Amino acid sequence: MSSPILYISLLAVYFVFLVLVGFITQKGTKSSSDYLIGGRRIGAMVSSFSFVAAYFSSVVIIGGGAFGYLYGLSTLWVAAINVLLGCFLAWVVLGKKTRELTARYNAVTLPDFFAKRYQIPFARVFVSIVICLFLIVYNVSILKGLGDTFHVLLEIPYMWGVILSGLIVLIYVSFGGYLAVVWTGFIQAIIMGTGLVLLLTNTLRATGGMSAGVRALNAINEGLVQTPGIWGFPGLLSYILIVSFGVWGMPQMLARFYSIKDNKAIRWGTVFATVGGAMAFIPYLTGAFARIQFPDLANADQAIPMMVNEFMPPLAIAIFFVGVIAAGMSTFSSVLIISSGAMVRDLLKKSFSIQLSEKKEIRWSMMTNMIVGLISILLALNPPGLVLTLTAFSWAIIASTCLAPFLLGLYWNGTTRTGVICSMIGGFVISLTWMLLGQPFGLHGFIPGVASSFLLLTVVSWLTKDKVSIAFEGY
Amino acid sequence: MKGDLVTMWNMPLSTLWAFIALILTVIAAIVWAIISGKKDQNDSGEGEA
Repeated sequence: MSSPILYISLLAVYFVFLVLVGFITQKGTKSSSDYLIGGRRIGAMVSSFSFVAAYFSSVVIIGGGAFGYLYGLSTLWVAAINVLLGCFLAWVVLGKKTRELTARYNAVTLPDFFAKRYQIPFARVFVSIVICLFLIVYNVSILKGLGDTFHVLLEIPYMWGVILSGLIVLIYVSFGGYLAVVWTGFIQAIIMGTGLVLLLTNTLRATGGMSAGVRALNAINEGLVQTPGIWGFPGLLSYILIVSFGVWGMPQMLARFYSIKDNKAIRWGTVFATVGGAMAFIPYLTGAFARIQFPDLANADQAIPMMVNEFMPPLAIAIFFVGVIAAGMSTFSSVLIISSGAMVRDLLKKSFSIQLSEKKEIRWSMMTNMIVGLISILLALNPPGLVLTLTAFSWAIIASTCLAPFLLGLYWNGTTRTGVICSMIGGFVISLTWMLLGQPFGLHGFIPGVASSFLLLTVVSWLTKDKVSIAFEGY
Repeated sequence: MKGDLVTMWNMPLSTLWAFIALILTVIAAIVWAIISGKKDQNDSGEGEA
């Protein structure tokens, strides 16, 4: 079988499987809570693997590889801290508390949680709008990764790669909702992991082993093997914090904690998520070694696809190819379901008091998924930046708005309504302004945005008296 | 590689630490799950008593 036919056959089988999952899980979706968080009955393995799949996606495989290519081995620190902060500690600190509090408030979305925890209707509207707008930017980065992979590996135009992968996701998410997202995410994580292991072994073989690779990189530029190396501390630190700590405020990741079955599932989910997350070092390492093989790539996002194309056997390429597509799709689907929840449940139903029956809410969510997905696909046809740059931009804005009120909302009963509003607006404005000013001092907008939102929330809460003690009492 | 100790795989220590941190985190997760499982068991045992 020739290579393109092998890739297309494997991909076709996989796509049919995804659409089937969408239709099968539709049968288990009877209420809007089922559609948005799977009825809070998802087990440890499925929750944690779909968490990893949504976290690492094509953004880390393609975008992380691009950063490895540009900045060298210091990017391994991004992977290490991702696993520590973004997987292990995120599950330990947020898992149990998030599950308990969201169940207690009957909150199924992040804006819903804010509105009930703080009793501020404004928070629901503001966070819903921020999530809807800036998750679209994130969607664009995911689709760009998918388009680049299709383009390099299948030699089909970038545009068709974006459209094909985007449309398949739209179909299964729209029909199956959250259950389809987590079950496909689980399968996608397994395919992605297999693809990454194959990528690592073939990369090491091509470079003559780890020592030879490091020596060759060192010969190109010493800064490519040292930490912080040519990236420098401000850049490295910013990205580490965005992609590790940013997860703590990203609604598509937090949804895994709303929907998980019980505390035992959270415990084992923590282990599975940490072990699965540890694979994140592979794209950074491979991206760095790609510089030895292809020193003059014009588009760094093509570093991983080029390595795959050049050094892997056809069957391994096919598995890796499906793995990357799977990774991107799992994240895209997770983000879509969050956007539709924010738009239909939080904005239309709760904020604008539009009466919607359970069935109608599910139908509207399906339609919203379609609309948000199509807008993302259209924007991704002409993306404005590198995959990881776009991701960092959207994560910085959303985390600066949501992270402080969410984290302190779980652990501190001293927060006040004024403090929460100042924190949300302050974090949003500061991170956006900082990035529009061209990131002064080489520091990404995430750091001043998140730092200021924590500062505003604690200081303003101490200075004001409108505590939300009723909502938190007895917890 | 000026000013940085070269270690396994010809890798400077500042970069090799990233690998070590990764492995330690995985071990920490397993230990945490075991300890917190025992703690939950004790808590539920005390609750029943």
